[in-house]
Amino acid sequence: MDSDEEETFICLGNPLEQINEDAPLKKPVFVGDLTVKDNKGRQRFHGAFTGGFSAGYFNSVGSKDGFAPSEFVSRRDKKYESMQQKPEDFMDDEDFNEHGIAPRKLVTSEKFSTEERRKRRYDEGQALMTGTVFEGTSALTDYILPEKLSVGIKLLKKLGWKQGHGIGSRKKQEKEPERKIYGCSLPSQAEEGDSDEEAEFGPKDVTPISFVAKDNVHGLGYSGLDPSSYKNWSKKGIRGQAFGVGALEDEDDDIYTRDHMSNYDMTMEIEDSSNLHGWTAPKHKQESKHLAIGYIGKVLEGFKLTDKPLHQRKSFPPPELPRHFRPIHVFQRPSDTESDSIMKQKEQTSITRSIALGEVRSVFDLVSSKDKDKMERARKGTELSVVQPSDKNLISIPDGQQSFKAASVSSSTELQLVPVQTGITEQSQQAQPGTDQPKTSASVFPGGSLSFKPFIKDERKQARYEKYLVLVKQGMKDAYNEVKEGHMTEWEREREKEEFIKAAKMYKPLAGMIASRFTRAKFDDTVETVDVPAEEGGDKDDRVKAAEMKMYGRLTRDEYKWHPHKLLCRKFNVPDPYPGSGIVGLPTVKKDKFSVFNFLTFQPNEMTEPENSGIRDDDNQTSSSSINNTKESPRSQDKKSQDIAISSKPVSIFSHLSAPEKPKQQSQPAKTKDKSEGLHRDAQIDKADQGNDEEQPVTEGEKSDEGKPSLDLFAAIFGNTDSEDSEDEELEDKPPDETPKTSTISNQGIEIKTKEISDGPEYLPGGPIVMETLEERLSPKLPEEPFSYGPLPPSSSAASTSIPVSTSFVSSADYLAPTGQRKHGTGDFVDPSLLPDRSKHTGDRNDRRKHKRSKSKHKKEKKSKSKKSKHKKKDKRKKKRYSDSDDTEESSSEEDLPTDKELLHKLRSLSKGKYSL
Amino acid sequence: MRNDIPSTLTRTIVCKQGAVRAVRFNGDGNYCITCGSDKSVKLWNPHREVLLKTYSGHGYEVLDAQASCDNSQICSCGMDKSVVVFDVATGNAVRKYRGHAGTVNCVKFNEESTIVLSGSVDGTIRTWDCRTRKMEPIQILDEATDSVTSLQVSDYEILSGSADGCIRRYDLRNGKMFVDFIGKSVSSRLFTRDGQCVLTSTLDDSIKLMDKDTGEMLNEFKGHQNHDYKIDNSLNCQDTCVVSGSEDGHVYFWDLVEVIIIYVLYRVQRMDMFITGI
Repeated sequence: MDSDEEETFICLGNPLEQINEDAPLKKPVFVGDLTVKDNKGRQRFHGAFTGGFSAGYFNSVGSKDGFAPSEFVSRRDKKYESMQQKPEDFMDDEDFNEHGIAPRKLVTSEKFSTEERRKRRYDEGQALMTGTVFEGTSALTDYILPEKLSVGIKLLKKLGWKQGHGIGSRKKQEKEPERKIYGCSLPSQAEEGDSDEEAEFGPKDVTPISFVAKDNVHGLGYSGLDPSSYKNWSKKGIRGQAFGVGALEDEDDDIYTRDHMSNYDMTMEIEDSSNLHGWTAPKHKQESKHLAIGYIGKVLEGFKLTDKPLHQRKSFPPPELPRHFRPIHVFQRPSDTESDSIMKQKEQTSITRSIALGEVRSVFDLVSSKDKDKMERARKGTELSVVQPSDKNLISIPDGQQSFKAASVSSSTELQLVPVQTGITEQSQQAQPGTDQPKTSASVFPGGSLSFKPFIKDERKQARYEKYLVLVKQGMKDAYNEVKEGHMTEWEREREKEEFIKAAKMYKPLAGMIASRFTRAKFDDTVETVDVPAEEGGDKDDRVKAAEMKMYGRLTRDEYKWHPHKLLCRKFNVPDPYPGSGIVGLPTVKKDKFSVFNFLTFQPNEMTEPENSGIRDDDNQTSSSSINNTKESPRSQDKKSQDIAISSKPVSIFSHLSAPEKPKQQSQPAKTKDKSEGLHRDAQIDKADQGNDEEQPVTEGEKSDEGKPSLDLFAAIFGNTDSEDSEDEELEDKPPDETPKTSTISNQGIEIKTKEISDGPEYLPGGPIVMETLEERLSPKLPEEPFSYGPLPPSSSAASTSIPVSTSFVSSADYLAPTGQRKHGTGDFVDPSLLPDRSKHTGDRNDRRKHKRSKSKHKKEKKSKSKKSKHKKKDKRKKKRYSDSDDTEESSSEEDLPTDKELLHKLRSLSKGKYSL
Repeated sequence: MRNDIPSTLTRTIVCKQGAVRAVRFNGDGNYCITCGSDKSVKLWNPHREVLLKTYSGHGYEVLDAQASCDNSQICSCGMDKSVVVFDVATGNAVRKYRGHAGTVNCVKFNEESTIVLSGSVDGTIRTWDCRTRKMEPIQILDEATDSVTSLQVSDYEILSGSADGCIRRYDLRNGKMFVDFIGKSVSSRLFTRDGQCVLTSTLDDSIKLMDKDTGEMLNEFKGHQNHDYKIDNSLNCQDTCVVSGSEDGHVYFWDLVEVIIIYVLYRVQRMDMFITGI
């Protein structure tokens, strides 16, 4: 290809030498060193002064072969022809060439030289100008003459047109009209005129003048009376220039004037002032006859007065001013009463003003009661996602009321609200209908989706769709089956189902979409100081810690999706792992500082639906969250809390190790409330009991447990079966004055993750697949996982304990060590201390349900009753209460008749309390 | 002492380049390239002690170089923030990539020598296509949060060590990036010859043998000094022993499996670099 291309090019000149940066510079050549050479490469000049020039062959003789004498030619025959010798006979080609003494080259002949051309042009110009004003003034012609004659003129000239003539066919010149001469006439010169008569002349060069045809029988130049002006005439009668004077007219002065010959033209000759006109043009005098009667003034030459009168413009006179108007304005000073009212207004708050103005107090007042119900449901969903991010434990409460209770219970911890990523949950709703459990996902305002009616054309379909949406919202497993109509064919049904799913996805309520982009404020704006987690992600801490302990592996490894550039793939001879993806590099932005995902420890790019794990129950979490400050961050203070912490850390090894043996199907009476101990595991079991989500937690658990390093292995590594003791020791090592707060902070990441998981089943149709990915994600984050290939970590690092792993946590294949070691605690251990706790939670659950119902009832009543002012008061009161104490909160949760605002307040105070407590 | 340890000094070549920042064998071990602080790259026949060619084109100290698989090109990088590809035969600079915002620490060809990868103090790895005339990098791997100190390229993986204490392995085949947090600045790392492990030098006087797939540490080699400088480590041909320079001027040899220092080459001048490919 290249060679072909090169061939097609023609190279002109010498290519520039490639600049070699490193090559030494060439020495410049001086003029003196240059030699002059002729075209044959012979040195041109010789001698000391280089004055001589080369001649012959290298300054010798004529040619290489020496001197060649000219051939002898006999001239005997033409003896008398004279031999003419020219100088050229003695010249060689050098003399003839460009720089020789008689150069021969092609030259434009004189005739075509520019000089000649200019001259001719000038002559032409002169010819053109003859007969014009500019004749003879050569200076002017230079200006006026066009450099080139226009094409039009040239064409005309070819047609026979001559400068100064008009355009048109030639005619014989009209004979000058015979002059009528009064008196004796001059002798005519008709003799010369004969020849003239035969000559043809072009028309005169004039601009045509339009004129009015004479259509009356008046004499020339006479304009009669205008009959239209008749009406205006007074009784005086007709006036005008006419022959004679009427008896009633004043103009009788000249009656006796005698006519004079000077008033008459002596000849009929045309006035020759307009000699240019080849015809008898109407005179201006005649035009002036068109003057309207009564017009005084001169009409400009070339203009004539119009016959029609101009249209009168309408004018609008300015308004008349009242007679007593004075153009001065005096500002009135505001009266005292007025200023008073202004002052009052300043003191008003926005609320009082709105009341005064009768404004709507909140958006919620505008919402219909039906929508309010929906919002209520949605809110419950958000409340579900009450999270405690400062610790790795997180709390999720399925019910608002319950959440407060839990918060009050957990006096040592602070609660924080982090809404579940709604976008995800909503998608997942569609993607995987799983549980029959009412989905309390934070799909914010379902009303929004209903307000959009994609199937409005088919009302029944729309109705079906709406029904479907509602069912989906409630977490119906296959909602469509409930809505479908009998008369439809299977195929139609399938199609409609797909349509619904798509539509539900597409027309997601705006609020939901937006909500997915925002997160609830981490801290209350009004609180000035805030406890910030030491590290952004809890896993970072883990990483560093693990690295310090040389426990490299899952803890220190992060896996990201990475999109190589497709060209890079090609160059590496590797198929593009993500064909068609436009992304290059890491597909997601780096962790946003304020994103929810900071609390959820998994990588943002692997964000799949974290919802179903069913590891824990929500209520348990809340209570446990209060406690599990301890655990891996070894800052716990006492044994009790430590235990709790262990239990509350489902992902940490320790939690598994310390987990008490517990039968899966064990059910517990729901009565007691143990504030200090709430264990996820119990909760999970609870769930299993309730049976609504039985399958999931079990599978979940299996996976997770497999992932855990087996107890035996652990024990083997550290050679310390009495691990509980060791942990105790370590825990006790910590300074006791360490606040639980700090500990919670350090433990953040994993707990939150699990929170997400545990949240799931509450509102999401289960998805074992999702779980798996989640588990995988979680796995690298396992704190202090004692897996080790190669050298064993120093035993000192084994802060961990070997405690029986609860059955509920069963490891998945993902967790399997590559070596195939797979051992885990299989026994079902019951930790008696935990039992009452669990019972409490089950109790909680039931209680909560009741609460819910009653609450909603209350709400309705309240709504109807409550007045705005009342609301306000209540809000204040509530705020105070929340910040005050747990007990009050608890009580409030029971007695509360929450309105929208109040609930919001609740949420806020919860989040606030998280740090202020 | 094992006989596979190079223990005798066969030759000393005075490069006359100022400080020699790096020495690299070419692919077949017949030639070596030295990177000098006098802005030049020199190609040697170390077996005959012959200087074959000097390549100039850098504006500042040259820090790393590598010969292409067909020995037709040499890529080098240096403190002038540029990556230069030299034509071996003519000595001309064929390409000069100026994209990095800081000193370029390391440079590598890919297996087919169609791409030059360079890691820089600016925390990026840039991939340059040296087959086209495009002067922009194909892709910038800017995940590192600190200086990229070392690079290695296998047939489908890019392994980079960074001063932020992470080893990043970009798997082109699977489209994944693995980040292994080591904790200390990584000065040098390379794949073992079986491609299963990664040998990592960190600035805490240790060399760690990491499992590539799981990121677990298999072995740790200690005994030498390395906390300030970037010192290369290496493996011998059989992957049986780990070699590293040390800031005390010695070269240490460890047995890969038993983790013991099996030999120390004493009185080697303090070295900032190490000949790879022993």
